[in-house]
Formats: sequence, C-alpha cells, structure tokens
Amino acid sequence: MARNKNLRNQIAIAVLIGIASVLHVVEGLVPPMPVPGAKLGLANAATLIGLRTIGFGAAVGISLARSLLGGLFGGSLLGPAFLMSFTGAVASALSMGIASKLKKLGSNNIFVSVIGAITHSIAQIIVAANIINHSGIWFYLPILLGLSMLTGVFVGLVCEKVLTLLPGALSADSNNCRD
Amino acid sequence: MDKKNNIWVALIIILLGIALFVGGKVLLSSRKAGPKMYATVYSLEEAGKKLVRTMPLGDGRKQIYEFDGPLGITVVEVDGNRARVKSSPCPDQVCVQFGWLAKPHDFSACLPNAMMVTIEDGQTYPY
Repeated sequence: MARNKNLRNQIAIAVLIGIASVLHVVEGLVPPMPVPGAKLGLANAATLIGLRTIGFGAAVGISLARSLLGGLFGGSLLGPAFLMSFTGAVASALSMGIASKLKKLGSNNIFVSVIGAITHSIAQIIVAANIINHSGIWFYLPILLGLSMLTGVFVGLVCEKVLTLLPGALSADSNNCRD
Repeated sequence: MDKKNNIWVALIIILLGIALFVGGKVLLSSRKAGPKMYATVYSLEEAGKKLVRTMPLGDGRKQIYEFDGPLGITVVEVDGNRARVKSSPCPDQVCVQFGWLAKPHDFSACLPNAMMVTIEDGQTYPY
C-alpha cells in the first residue's frame, strides 16, 4: 500500500508539473494586464493544489520544476527574467506552505493563494530592483500588491473548485483509485 | 472551510486589493514633471547598469533612436515631452507595454535585451 501511495504521489506531482509549466508559458501570451509584465498567476494554482493534496515538499518541487521548464520553453533560462520568475515561484510556494499551517485561515484556499500571490510580487520586485537598480520600480509596489490580491482571490477560487471536483484523482489517501 | 466564510475572506481581500491598486495609481500620477527633463538609456550589464545616452525632452521634435542589445535593436521614440520604447526584439514585449514615459522615475526595462529607458529631471539622481 505504501508503495502504491508513493507511486500515486509521484504521478500526481508529474501531472501538476506538466500543467503548471504549460500555464506558465500560456500566461505570458494572454493579453496584457494593467501593469506591464504582470500575470494572472494560474501556474500558482498547480502549486497550491500540490500543497493541499500531497504536501509542502511537493509544492516547492512543483514550483521549482515549473519555473525551470517554463524558462526552458520560453528561452529565458538562467537569464535575469528567469531569475525573477524562479525566485517568485519558490518564495510563493514557501509562503503558502507556512500560511497553510495557520490555525484559522490556513485551511482557506483563497487566503493561502493570496499570501502566495503577494509573496510572489514582493520577491519579484526585489529581484527586479536589484537588476535594474532604479528607484522608479518601488512606485509600482502598491499597484502590484493590489493587483496580486485580486488575482490571488481568483486563483484561490480556481483551486477551491478543482479540489472539490477532483476529490479522488489527486489525493493520495483516497479510495477512489484502484491499485 | 464553509462557503459563507469564503465569501467574507474574498470580499475583504478584494476591497483591500482595489484600495491598494487605486492608491498606487494616484501615487503614480501625483509625480510632477520638472522644468528640464531627460530620457536616459542604460544598458543592463552584469556588473550593473551603464549609461548609454541621454536625450533632452521638450524641444518639440519627434526623434527615433536605435540601440543595440544582445537580442537586436531596441527602438526608442522621443516625442516632445515624452519618450517610449517603440519596438523591441524581445519575446515578452514588456518594455513596449510600459508605453509613454513622461514623469521623473518613469521607466521601461527590457530584461531580455538588457536595456532600460528612464525619465530624469536632471536634479535628482536617487541611485
């Protein structure tokens, strides 16, 4: 049983990495947001679903793998733009892992998703500020934070829906899958 | 987590988000242009940014400048009191989306083509 559970987790992580990588690339093509370079953050939904169904390690792994693969597909691997997405994705996964441990709000997908989105923006702005070394970027911080709260709610709602629709497909301890 | 709780959490966060977004926009639009403005182009190098060219704004002429980056040529347009990245060889086009730059601290950065355009008033160099 333990082996089957392990295998099922590995498959679920692989599927989530695939979904996250595709979302990561597709999001870059979606019509521009009100702030240049801002994204909806749907790739983060895969991280949150991984966190909820498998655990903290899986969430960090998915975010690591998807920013690496996304960078590879987009051709920005190891460049400054990759550094921004990589730092943002990993910081967001770490913060969501911590936020999910909170007593009252930790089980709320919208709250955890918003924490992830906010951390993502802050981490990216810090990296960008170091690259371009220009004070003008700090003027964008409140706008980006406000925007990421809105997109965070949206992504949280998506996660909520996915997690209720797929109770057995991704969950390791479900009885819905036959071994 | 029950549905009612979700609605409240979402509502509070959305209101806070809108307030921050609008407040940020107001902050951005509250900056005032100085008497003499410049558009400055930097190349972003690993050691830091390097000044490439400073172009005065406000002489009422429309001018096109071309700058060579690792991916190709970034075209910068200066038109009266404002400047913008007109075209760029980068895949994401974020630098073009920044649009017209006219106030101090306005900037447009292109990480793939390692190029940055900023607006400076010739007095404050806070960096």
